[in-house]
Amino acid sequence: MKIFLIAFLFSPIFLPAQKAQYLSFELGGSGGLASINYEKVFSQKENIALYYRTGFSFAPVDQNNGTAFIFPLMLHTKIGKDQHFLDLGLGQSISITSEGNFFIRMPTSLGYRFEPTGKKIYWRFSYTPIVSYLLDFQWEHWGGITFGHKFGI
Amino acid sequence: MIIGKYGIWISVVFLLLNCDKERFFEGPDQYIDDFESYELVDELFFGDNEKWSFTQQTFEGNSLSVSREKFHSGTQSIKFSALNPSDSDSASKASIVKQKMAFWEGETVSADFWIYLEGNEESNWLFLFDLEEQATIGAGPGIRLALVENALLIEHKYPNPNIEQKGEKLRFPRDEWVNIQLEIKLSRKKEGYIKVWQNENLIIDQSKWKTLPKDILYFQQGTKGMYSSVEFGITANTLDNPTVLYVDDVEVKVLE
Repeated sequence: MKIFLIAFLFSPIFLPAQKAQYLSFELGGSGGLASINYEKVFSQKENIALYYRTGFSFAPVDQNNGTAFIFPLMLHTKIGKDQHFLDLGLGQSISITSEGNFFIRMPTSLGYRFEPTGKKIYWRFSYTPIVSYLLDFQWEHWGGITFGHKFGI
Repeated sequence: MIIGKYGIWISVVFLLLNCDKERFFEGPDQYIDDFESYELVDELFFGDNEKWSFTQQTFEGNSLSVSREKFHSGTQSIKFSALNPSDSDSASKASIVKQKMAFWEGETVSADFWIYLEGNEESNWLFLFDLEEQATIGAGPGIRLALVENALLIEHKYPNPNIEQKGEKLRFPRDEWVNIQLEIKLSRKKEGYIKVWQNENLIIDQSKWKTLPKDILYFQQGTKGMYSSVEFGITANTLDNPTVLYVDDVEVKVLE
């Protein structure tokens, strides 16, 4: 089941050509303690770009609950030009534990994105509160630092 | 299209759940038991959560029985026996749990019960009472009363420091009945308080305290701003010696 989910998230249907794609590592942030992510720009108009990212993370809970496998799915907009961007994101993060429990939280992101000219990397520094909304509304302060690497074009 | 259609309905259900959580997770906010009506220990768990919900006995030698030898009032109490956990990874437990209760943020919960701890062997980190929530993901976060170096303290199953007795600690008496009372104002901010009395002596008085857990990243998810279960007995014996404990005359309620 887990393998299918991961395969789906990273499957080629998400990879049409001619759009910027990144692999990124986020310390903290939407995936919890850390996550690896695939990102792809799917719309670009002047100084505004829309991109999505899908990721994977995990969190050992305890002996009874096992490990939570976490799949953050985020929609971002990137506003700016040259090297400096405002980066806003909103998504859903699905947790499935090895004992079969399931929950969803809503990660959000407000950050600064730096893309050095002539390089295929970026850095993002974000405030990434994680919101609970299913059973109770809770706003949890959190933050993240992301390093991404462009591949393809 | 299909996803959109069902997505709307799922969202509506989630919103209704969130808005009306007190009705969805409703349950009693009081419970009294003097343990006088039971012939056998199995009778504690008769019915659909009408009395106690279940027992935890983590080792084969741990046991629970109706005792007519020791009692605080009437003629009976409940005897809990838990072996030394020795090298095991898990704690030794012999306890009774009542679930599907509902104590909400803003309310003040009171617990009053009597304990008889047999023998004089050292009992470090012997847990005697738990007030917990069943989170969807997480290890039943809550507040626990523990005996450490022969004195009671409060421990939390969420990030919050222990509350120890200030000054000279009142020794926990052995081989006699001891009355324990707790009063906990429930708050997810530092607006709650915890008071503990041992034989009517106020031994812990902690104000401006976070007394309810919240979701923590992806380690603890689905907390609701409430507690839903109480547990009495040897709720965990983590170290040292085998333990025999009697419990009688328990009462849990929300103060008006």
